[in-house]
Amino acid sequence: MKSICFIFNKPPYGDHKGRELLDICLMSAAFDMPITVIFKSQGVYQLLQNQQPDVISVKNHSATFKALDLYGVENILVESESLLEHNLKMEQLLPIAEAVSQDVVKHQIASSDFVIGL
Amino acid sequence: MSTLFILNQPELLDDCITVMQPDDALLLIENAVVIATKSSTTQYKMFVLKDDLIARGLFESIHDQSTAIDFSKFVELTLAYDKSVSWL
Repeated sequence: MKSICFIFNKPPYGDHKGRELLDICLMSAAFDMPITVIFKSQGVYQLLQNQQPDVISVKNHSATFKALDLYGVENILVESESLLEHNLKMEQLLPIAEAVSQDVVKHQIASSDFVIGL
Repeated sequence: MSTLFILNQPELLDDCITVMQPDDALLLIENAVVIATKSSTTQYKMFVLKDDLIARGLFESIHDQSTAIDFSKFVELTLAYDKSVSWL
């Protein structure tokens, strides 16, 4: 079975890429192939709690990240070096991801059959 | 598994490099070809699309660390590596 890895590397709401990639993740989950979701670089901001994009009249997709678990996507990783770089703590993030080192991220990307970042 | 990382936005170079493994390679296309005109510190094999360099009048100023390729070589590269990843 082919495995696929999605990479969030941009902050939310400045563009629709985060929401679109999340939609792609949920659609891919329907095909029950092994899926990994990775948040690295500025993508760690996607997981910040208490986002309120309605103040800039943009749809809040952060609540939808919890649907990943519902869809059976369990391998959700956040790169600890990126958290450090953007001085964020795991407690500030939605409790859906596991903190891993950059080496784990590198290995995950190398070993996945398909890798899609947006 | 070796990966060919395809980059079309120069500002994402550093981000892309953080996930590369020793035997991966980087292919610069579109605006990212400007990277090939500077000496780079990356130890990865670097290819750059010739047409995008010529289009931008940069073909003569290519740095010897990168290898200029045409489209058919581009196709060959995608077969030579286990997978290609467009780093967006």
